[in-house]
Amino acid sequence: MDELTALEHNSIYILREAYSKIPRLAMLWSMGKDSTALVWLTRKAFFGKIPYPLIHIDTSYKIPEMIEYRDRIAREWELPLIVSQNTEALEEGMNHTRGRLVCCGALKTEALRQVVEAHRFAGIIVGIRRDEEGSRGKERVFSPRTPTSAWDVTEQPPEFWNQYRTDVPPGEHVRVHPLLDWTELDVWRYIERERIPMIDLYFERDGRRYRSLGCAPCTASIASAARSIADIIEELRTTRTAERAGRAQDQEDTHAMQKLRVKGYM
Amino acid sequence: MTARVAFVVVGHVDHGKSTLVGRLLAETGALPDGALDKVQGICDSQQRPFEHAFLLDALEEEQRQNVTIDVTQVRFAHGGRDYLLIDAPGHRQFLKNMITGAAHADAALLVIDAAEGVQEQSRRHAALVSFLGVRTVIVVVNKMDLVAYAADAFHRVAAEYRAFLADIGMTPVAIVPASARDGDNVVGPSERMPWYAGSSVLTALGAVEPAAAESSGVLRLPVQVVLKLDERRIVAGRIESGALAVGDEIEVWPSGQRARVKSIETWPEAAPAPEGAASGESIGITLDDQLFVQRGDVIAHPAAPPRRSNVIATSLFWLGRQALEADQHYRLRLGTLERDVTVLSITRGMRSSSMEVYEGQGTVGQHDVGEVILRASQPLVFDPAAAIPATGRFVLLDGHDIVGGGTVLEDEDLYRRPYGAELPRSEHIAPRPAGITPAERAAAYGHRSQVVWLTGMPGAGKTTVARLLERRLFEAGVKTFVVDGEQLRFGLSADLRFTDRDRSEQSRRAAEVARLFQRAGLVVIVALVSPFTADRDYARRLIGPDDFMLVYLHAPLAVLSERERHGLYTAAGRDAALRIPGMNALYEPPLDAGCVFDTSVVDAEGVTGAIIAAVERRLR
Repeated sequence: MDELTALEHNSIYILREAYSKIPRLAMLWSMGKDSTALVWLTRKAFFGKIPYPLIHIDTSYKIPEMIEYRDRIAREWELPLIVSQNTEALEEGMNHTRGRLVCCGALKTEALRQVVEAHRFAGIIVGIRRDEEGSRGKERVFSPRTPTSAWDVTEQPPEFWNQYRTDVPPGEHVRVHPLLDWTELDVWRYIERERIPMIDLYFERDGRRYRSLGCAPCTASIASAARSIADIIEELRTTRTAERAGRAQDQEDTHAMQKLRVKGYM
Repeated sequence: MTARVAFVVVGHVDHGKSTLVGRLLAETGALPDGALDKVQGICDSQQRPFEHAFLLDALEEEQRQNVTIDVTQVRFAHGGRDYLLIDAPGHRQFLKNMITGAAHADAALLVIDAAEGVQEQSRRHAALVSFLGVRTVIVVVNKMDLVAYAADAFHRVAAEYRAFLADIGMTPVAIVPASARDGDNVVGPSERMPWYAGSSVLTALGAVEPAAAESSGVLRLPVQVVLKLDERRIVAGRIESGALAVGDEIEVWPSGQRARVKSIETWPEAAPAPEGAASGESIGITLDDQLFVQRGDVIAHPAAPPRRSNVIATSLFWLGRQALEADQHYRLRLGTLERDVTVLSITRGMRSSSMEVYEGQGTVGQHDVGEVILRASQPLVFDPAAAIPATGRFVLLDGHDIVGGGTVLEDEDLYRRPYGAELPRSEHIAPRPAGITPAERAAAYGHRSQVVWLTGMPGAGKTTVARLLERRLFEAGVKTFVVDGEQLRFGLSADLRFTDRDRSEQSRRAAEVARLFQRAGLVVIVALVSPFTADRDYARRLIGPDDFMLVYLHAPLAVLSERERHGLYTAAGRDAALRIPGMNALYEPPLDAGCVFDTSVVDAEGVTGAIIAAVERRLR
């Protein structure tokens, strides 16, 4: 079995474990390559059906093409979609000029916490990968969150022999990470192999493309000539730039991601 | 695509694991732009020299205390090959994180400080890595700069560690003297150690092949979930071993119902539809018969079924803060099967840092290993781990948390026994936690409890000795009671005859009764022919070797037949249908008895005195 097929079968196994063990489950979908691949894997795991809702945390500042793509794919694939927004913070004028970490905290972390609470979700499937950044490298496949969505990085459960902490005590929820072992390159190779439709923002326009997608004010494109998935794969083979170099919130502080994530950021 | 080889980097705290990994990444050019600058910035702000470890120890807590807390994985490519390095914490407190990392590795890199030498975690990590199934190890004797790059210092550490590894059945593929801080022997050879002609750390990594997939060829498909889609009932799971094809006849365990595989389902629909699937594939199948299948069931071919038993012999490592003790209750998860289990007995506990067997009563302490018998409330479906690892490994949960991992041992006898194969009928009850602990009882009663098991042919003097022993102990203030085989036959075992099978069952019942009295704090004296080694072994395991003493009483056949008060020997001489162990039926003399007495030579007083002398220290 080749590496990509092995990763695929393992992710399907994790998705089915989550579905079997966690009563109220949902999956985050950001329209990016990772979570879209995860939607595809879900359809494979459950034979075309999506047995849990997908959540889009809409900050209202997303790159406009992302919303068009979201609505088109949701229609074509018949996705059970929940769009969640921290409307209170938005009405009160929250934006990145108040501090990027403050803004991420309000419009993403808090919005996610609200939707988890409103639907009493016990599990949230998230498409993060270890190779994205340091604090994600330390994650678990089934990663517990306290009732306030906090992540205790110093006291994580052991995972071995495909056994995870799948029980969720009342009030807590668990983040499920089926793509944890994948790399950026693995995800692109898989998208190429499976012909998963991707948003155009990943491909070259006027000499630039997006490598990681987020909110328009805080996400920079990179100089690139990659017009196809094959081009992207070739570019990634030789690049020396970090994947999230264009994500401004990561650069706010030495431990920016950890600081966001211990409070419940994805 | 080339296969990735995954290495876990383990060893004692501060022996330089993260530094070694950071150095490997830096020297193979695996780091993105800015990663080194970021670490340089952190180190400048803390006014310390450049710390390669910070490339991995990304958590703020880790950098502040300069210690790895949690495991991390990093990849790099070199010489056309992909590597995955799993950096594990060395501190005792974070052992469960080390285990999480090691479970995903093909091979281990054991790092030892040349100046400090082999330490507690150096040994414990090696033992646990081996337990988890990692067989290939490379040893790095690090910090050679601290011992002036001296060959003799290296050889001393290498020899000591090699000896320990040999004890746990491991042979390192390379032992490399290195200095991760300065880069000696990490990627290329070191000019400061001209006496060393072997490989560098990187070339040693390059020589390791990925561990071969563990598949025995025997089909095991543990059911994860049954999905109902339109008209189809799809049984979904991952094939953990072997292969399956459309049309195959299969059995679903533990029920043993049979059906044929009708289809292998896929999405998007494949054309042509798949005809078969093999180990490692997460699949969905439909069956030609509407069987009741549920999560936890195991699908196998009829020719090679899994074992079924509610009692299993295991070897395990323990992570729980509270020591593992007999009579405690846990949840067991084996594949997708979950059961409530009770710790029936602890055969032995061992320190994982030295492999010494514990003194005294059976427990398995945190971070240690042991051999333990577990009894489940419901049938378990499994294979001995040596045959099929995926269906022979399990975890134990205390509440929501995983507190231990273990492998099921081969135990032909235990799994074949009637009480192994014939399962409890009481399906809707689960064991409850015990209240008063054995230690509390011992303190209140003034002595520990014990089972003294007297075995021997009819007429050997078991009942006589049992009664006298009971009297003597009672007079000495010991709470004691006799469980006599003959007495049992009038009540509890009134349904049993004298066939081999019923004698086994009689022995099992006596063992269960003795165990109850023993757990109640008494010194139980069992007087029972118990002719079969397997039955006596079972009793020892049920009760626990520290709480069980076997005494063998024997005498010449002429003496026995004269002494035996029911005239059984005479009767058996006339009637072949009457089977007397030792005469016309098998009696297997024990080879492992704590005491052996010829009762035609030593009288009952003498035997009793000797037993008391032997049992006395076990009661303290």
